[in-house]
Order: sequence, then structure tokens, then C-alpha cells
Amino acid sequence: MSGLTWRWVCAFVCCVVFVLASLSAPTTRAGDKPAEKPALSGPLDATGKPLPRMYFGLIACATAGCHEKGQVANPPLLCRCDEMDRWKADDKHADAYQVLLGQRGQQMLKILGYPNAESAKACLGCHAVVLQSDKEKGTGFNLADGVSCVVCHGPYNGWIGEHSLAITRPAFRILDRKTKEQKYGMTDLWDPQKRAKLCASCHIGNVDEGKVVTHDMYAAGHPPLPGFEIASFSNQMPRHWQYLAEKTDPGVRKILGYDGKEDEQAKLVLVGAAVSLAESMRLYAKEADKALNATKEDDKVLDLAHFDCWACHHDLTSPSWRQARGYEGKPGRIPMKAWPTELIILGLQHLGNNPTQIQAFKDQLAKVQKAFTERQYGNPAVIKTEATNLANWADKLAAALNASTVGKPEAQKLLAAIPTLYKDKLLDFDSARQVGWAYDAILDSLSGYADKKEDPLLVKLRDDFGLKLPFGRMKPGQDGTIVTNLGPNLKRIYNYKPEPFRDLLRALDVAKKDK
Amino acid sequence: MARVYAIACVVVLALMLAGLPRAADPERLAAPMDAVPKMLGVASCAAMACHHGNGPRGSKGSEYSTWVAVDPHAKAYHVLYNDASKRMHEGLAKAGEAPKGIANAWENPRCLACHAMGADADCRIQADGVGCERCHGPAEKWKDTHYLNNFNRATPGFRDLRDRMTVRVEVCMDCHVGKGGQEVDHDLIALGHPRLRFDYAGFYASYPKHWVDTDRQRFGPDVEAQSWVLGQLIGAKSALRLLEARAVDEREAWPEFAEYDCAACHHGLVNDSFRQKRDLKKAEKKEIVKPGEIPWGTWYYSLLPTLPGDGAQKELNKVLVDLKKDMQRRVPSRGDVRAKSAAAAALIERWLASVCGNKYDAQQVRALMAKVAGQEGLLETGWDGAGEVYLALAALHQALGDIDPTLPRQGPLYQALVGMRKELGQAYQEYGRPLYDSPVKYNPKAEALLKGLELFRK
Repeated sequence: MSGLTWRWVCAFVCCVVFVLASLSAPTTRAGDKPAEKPALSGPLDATGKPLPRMYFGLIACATAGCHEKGQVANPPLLCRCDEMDRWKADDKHADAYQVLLGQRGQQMLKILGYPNAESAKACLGCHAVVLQSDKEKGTGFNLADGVSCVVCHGPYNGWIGEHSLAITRPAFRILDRKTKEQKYGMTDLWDPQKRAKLCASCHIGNVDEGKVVTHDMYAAGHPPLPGFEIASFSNQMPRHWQYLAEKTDPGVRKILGYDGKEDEQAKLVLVGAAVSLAESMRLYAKEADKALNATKEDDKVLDLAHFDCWACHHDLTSPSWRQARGYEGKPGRIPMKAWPTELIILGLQHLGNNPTQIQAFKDQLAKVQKAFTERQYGNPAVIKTEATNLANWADKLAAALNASTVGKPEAQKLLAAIPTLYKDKLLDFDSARQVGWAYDAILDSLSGYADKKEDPLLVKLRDDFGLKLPFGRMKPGQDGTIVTNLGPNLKRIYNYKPEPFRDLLRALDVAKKDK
Repeated sequence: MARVYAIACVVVLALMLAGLPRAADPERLAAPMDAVPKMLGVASCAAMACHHGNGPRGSKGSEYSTWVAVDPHAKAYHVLYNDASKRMHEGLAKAGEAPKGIANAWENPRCLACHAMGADADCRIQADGVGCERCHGPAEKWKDTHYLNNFNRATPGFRDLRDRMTVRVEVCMDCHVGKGGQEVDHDLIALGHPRLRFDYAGFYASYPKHWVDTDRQRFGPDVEAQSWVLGQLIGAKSALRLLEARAVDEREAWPEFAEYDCAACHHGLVNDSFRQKRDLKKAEKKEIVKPGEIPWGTWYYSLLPTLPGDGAQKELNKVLVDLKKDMQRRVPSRGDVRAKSAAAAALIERWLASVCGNKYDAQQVRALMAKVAGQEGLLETGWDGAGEVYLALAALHQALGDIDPTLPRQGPLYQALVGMRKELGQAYQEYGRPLYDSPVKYNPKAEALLKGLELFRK
């Protein structure tokens, strides 16, 4: 088949898919009741009503021959046509639902008392999609697709039709990010704050969207949620997109609003850290609110899942680095996770190192930490107030960081600042890894994504502190990649001691001065 | 001259009378009579002619000499000067849990409560550590008479540790189990204090005795069995009274984590978790599963069902099962826990009255052994359960040997105990400090434990 014919076939298939999609899609007409209750935030139509959600299956993106072509010689604007190939080959999000059917998933369902995966809404929020109504079922919708394309790119009919239909495609492509998002519902994943917030809804949790991992789930076998550093997690999905810096076409850069100077990774790290803090605090505040309104006595405190797992879950040893380090707040109480609070000072330093702001952050953080440890399982009333305050503050910080200039000089400054900031601190594993990921991601983009394997300090950083996430899809008949790699990863956390990490940062600090 | 003397006498008498409280003030007169007798400090016992004879260890007249040389209680105060104590005190102070103006562990009443003569004791005798009177009772009223043949052993302040075994068992509890306002809680443990895990019979057996041991003549050859039974009951009762005190409404650390099995939370996470497998099995059998539930009361109450006596057990068991359910909820109801722990403690009091003074013959001791060894399920609950089983069998085995001297001292039962002890010790090998560390290598299916129990069951 010649190239030309092939394109026509593609275009035709696209049309058919779109028409099918449109047929199954309820269009909003004046007088229609707003689609269910808008529990989830999303784009609004011209009249201010939320656009109806529409979850298409993988088939809409792949089988139509658009994003699953392998490498093509002359890819169209904004697209390499092999996104689905990359995603299907290695991305764990593709297994999100399948893992529920694996041995571990089945064990969890049984212990938690769910008859099966498809009815376990508490799981499906992150492992697939929870439809608000049948109207949201788009063409080819299939739970088994897991965290499929539209879950992140936007479950809206508007952009999916516009960008796939041969007639509308050219005009749609050149629209700016904002229009695509606000008018058509295509999530602006190039915006670090939006991307981080979207990912955080599962990787940290989101009460409104029903995405909360509980201690019961952990005890039943859910792997512990690791700290979340957006730049590193994006890279290690592995990414099915190009970095902005790799997009050299001036037309593309213009559409994406990329000036060619911004250091994408450094900004992601900074904004991502602020978003992680904001979303963690929002999760705690909303969970605290749930506790305050609970009728059952046992639900009147924050769930154990929202505390630092490793504060309790370690074998007792003497001498103990935790005892030597001392405790924030009262000893012997379960503290809040520390990792979401790391890298915030780095962001504040970047924004001008204003001592008043830094103090304000420390004071507010201290209030939340105190609320967690002032009594067992925390004081929900205080957590609700103070964590909300910190979340709102972190939202503003994320926006300010997002609006700030993060070019190469700034990225270099940040890279130099990390070892200085942390070389005298004794961090827990998750916090240390957060710092390590930040350092690695910024260095990655500064060095033009070159292979840095030869630097022994970096090799140590990556290998000893678990910067490499489990890679690849689950194998038939096995558990998911994260579970099959869980043993050694837990062992690493088990054996972790803070001094070697601190010493490594000291070495990086010295190395930096030598340069 | 005589007149001068007489005048002087009158003046002195007048002064003395002036100093005395007036008869119109009966309260002031009565007060010194009812007050708790004073402690005098070890110095008043340590005269060479009395208890510091410097004779052989434990010999008559060398009680103090022995105590000061080998008894850990003599060092109780001095450990408050070490780095670990410094860190604990500073941690408490940082968290606002130390009284204002107290700069050191050796001045902190919370530490002195058990590491010296008591939180409120005269500061001049605190350096004695846990001195004579901490156990024998404040000596003000009996110092001058206790060596006389016709000494009244009911003199105020005097504790009859020699003749009354319940008094002896009780005396350890306030510090080694704890009581309201005098306890090792999870805050203190987090700062580095070892967890308290007291077993009277086991501790008493290894205690360096500073007296001539006449227990076997006094109580009978089965004294170890009596001591184990009373230790179990009084230990459980004290733990329940402590729990009752902990459940007061104003306490911020509730539930108190020191009440639970440390290893329930403090275990490194692994991929193939036996807890998850256990829960899965339960779920498959359609039993109720509570993933992530924290087991309560693994140390003090596990062997109560094996104890002899009558009446109270059934009722007690019901209350304890209920209490366990309460305590294993995320936020136990303080009122329920207070009521139930008080009820359980009262039942144990009743039970105690029925077994106090009981004697055990060889057959009864063997029956007790078999019952304890039948608690195989306790191995699965963790090191705590296995440890209690071992300590019980060791005490009972000793009693059996004492009752029937014809039995070989180092026979198969003894060998089994040695094997169990080794196995339980090895559980700590990785870190090697059982008071502080997790028994990471504990294996409930270890042959030494299973075979040992099997042997004792026969």
C-alpha cells in the first residue's frame, strides 16, 4: 500500500471512529440537565456548565492508526504517532487494572471483602475509571485499559473529535494550550502545575475523586505509595512524549508557548514539590474533615495511611538513628510524612530567598506537624484548619514558581543549592529520595540528557537510594511490576540509614566547589 | 549549783513545752502519727555490724555488701547520668514533657520515680538508687526494733517480704509493670527507654539475692510454682490497673501504644508478609478479617487460662476477650476500657484470694506444665507469647525438680528448655540487645520450640 493510500485509509478510519464516538456521546443541548453532579472539576462550556465527560477506550487512539504506528518518517505536527507503542510496551499505567486481577490484587480484594475488581470502586478510582454515569462511556470504553490515554489527556469528546477528524485537525492543532484545554477539554499537561496536580490525584490521593489508599489496603497488600517527584516519575513512566527542548520546530514551540530557554525539568521539580505539598495537605485536611463528621467512633481520627509509614514500620535496633536524630513534636507519636515538605525551601530560595516567607512556611508546617503528634492519630480539627492553610499557601507557591523564570542559569543555581541545603540534615528514606530525584532530574536536563553513568557519585545516588523505579509491564501470570520488584525495594528502605545520604550530599557539595 | 541546775531544767522544759503543739490543736498533734514513715537511706542500714559485713555474697550480715556490689538496683540512679538518659530527658524536655527548671535526668521526678527512692523522696537519699527501703519499706518506725527477737512484723512502714509472698510479688510491680503516674509509656520508649516486660518468676530466679534463701523451708519445695502462679496473677492485675489509669479522659496519648505488641507495628515491611497470608486464609474461610489491627495484651494475659484456681477464670476470660476487642479498635472507648480493666483486676483479686497459699505437688506441677505447653498457638502470636511460655516452663521445671529430687537435674526436659532458650535468644542475634531490639529472626515454627512444647505436653 502506498503512503498516500495509507493516509487516506487512516483519515477514513478516524472519521468512522469519530462518528461512532459522536453517536454514543450525548451532546449538550440547552435545557439538558447538567450531567450528573459535577463532583469532578473540569472545563466548562460557553454557558458555564461543565463539559460532559466521555471516556474513550484505547481503541479510539490506537486502532484508528493514529498513535500506534511505530516510527514514521514524516510525523505530523505535535505528534510522533508512536505514543501508544511506547505506552503499550513499557508503561505500568497500562497494567493498572490488570494488576487487580493478579495474585496480589485478588488477595487484597478477598481480605478487603470485595466480590471482584470491577465492583471495587475504592480501587478503580486509580486503577481504572469510575464512571459517574453510563453516559460517560465513550467508544470502546474498557475498564481493562487501566489508566488509559484520556484519563490524563482529558476525557472529553470535544478535543478527541477535533484532533482526530481530518477536516478539523489542522485548525485544532495550531490552537494554543489554553484554548485546547478550556474550550475542548484537552488537559494541558505541558503546564507543570496542572500535570503535577493530575498525577498527584492518584500518586498522593484525592478525597473528592474517591482516590484514597487506606491503611486497610496497605495491610491487605497494597505496596506503599512512594514519595512523588513529578519530573522523575514522568521520565520513568517511561515518557511517550518529547521534552520541550527536543522539539526544535519553531512552529511547534510557538503552539506550545515554549521559548527555548526554559529548563523544563528544573521547573517541574520546583512546581511539582509545591503541588505535592498542596495535594498532601488537601488530602489530610479533607480526611480530617471526614473524621470530624464520622459517626463511627473508629473513624473519628485520621486513617493511619496518612502518617509516615516508616516511622512505625521498621525493626527496632539499637543504636537507633531515629533516636539519635530526635523527633519533631512529641516523641513516640506517629508523625506526618516528611517527604512532601522537602524541596519547598529550595523553591523559596529560587523565588528570592525571602526570610519572612521561609519563616512563614516553617511556622505553618510546625502547626500541622504539631496537630499530627499532639495526640495519638492526630487532632482532626486542627489538622483540618492548619493543613488547609498550608495547602492554600502551597497552591500560591506553586503558581508563583510556575510563573517564575527557570532558565539554565537558574537551574544551575538550584543544582548547586541542593547539596548545600541538605548536607547537614538527617533525612528519612522518602525525603532523601525526593532530594535525590530533584538533583538527578535537574542535572539530567542541564547536561542535555547525556548519559552520566560514569560519575561515581551519581551512580551511587541512583543505585543506593532507589532513584530508579520498577520498569516495564507485568508479565503474563505474574503480579504487577511494582509488586514483583517490591522485595528488594523494601529491603533498601529497611537498610536505609541517613548518614550515607548526608555524606553523599557533602561529597556532591565538595565536587561542585571543585568545579 | 543544784539550784542553777534546777532552773536550767525548768527553762529547758519550758522551752520544750513552748515548742510542742498545744493540746487545743489536735490535728497538729495527730499529723506526725498518721504520716507515712520516713525513709532514712541506705546509710542507716550499712553499718558493718548490721548489713555491711563484707562477708560472702548473700550471707547473713552482708546484705548491703551484696546489694551494693552486684545488684542492678544499686546502679539505678547512676544510669541517669549516662548518654541514653541525657537524650531521653532532653527529648522529654523538648516536647514539653519535663517539669520546668529541671535540667537533668537525675533531677527529673519522672525518672526518679523508679530509678531512685521515689519522685518525692528526700533529695539527699536519691543517689542510693533503688535502696533498701524502696522494697523493705520506710524504716523510720522499725529501724530500731527490726533486729529484735520479738520484732512486730506489722510495724508501720515495714514490708514483710520474707514471710508473705504476695507482698514480695507486689513490691516489684509499681516500677517493673508500672502504675498510674509512674510508667514507661511509648513516648519514653521512643526516646530510648527499654520496653517493660516483667515476668516475676523469671526475674526473681535470676535476681542476685542478698539474703540467705530459706524459701523452700518456709513455703515448701514447690515455691517456684507458687511464685510463678502469683507472679502471673499479680502481673496481670498490675497491668490492668495501669491500663485503667491510662484510660483517663485527660490523657492525650490514647490509646497508649506501650500496651501493644511492639512488633505488631515495628517490623520491616516485606513483600511476602505472613500477616497478609494469615489474613487471606481467614478471609477464605469467611472469618472476620481486620487488616492492620494491632494486637493488644500479648505479654501479661496470654497464660492466664492455664492457671489453677477456681471461680474467676471464666468470668475473667469473658471480660478480657471484651477488653481485647475494645483495645484493638482504632480509638478504644476510654470509659469502656476503664470499666473493663477495673472489673478484670477485681476478678483477679478474687482469684488471688483463692490460690494464695496453695501448694502444688509433682502431679499438679506436671499438669500445669502440660497446660502451658498446650498453648502452641501463642508461638504464632510472636516472640512475646513464646517468651512467656518458655519462662513458665522454666519456673515449673525448677519446681518439679525441687519437689522430686530424684528426677535428673539435666534430663530431657532441661535439654528442651536449653534449646528453647537458645532459639529465643537467637531471634535477637542480628542486633543482640533484647531489651531494645526486635526479634527479627524469631521463627514460630522453629523445631526447638515445637519439639520442646511437645515434650512438655507428655
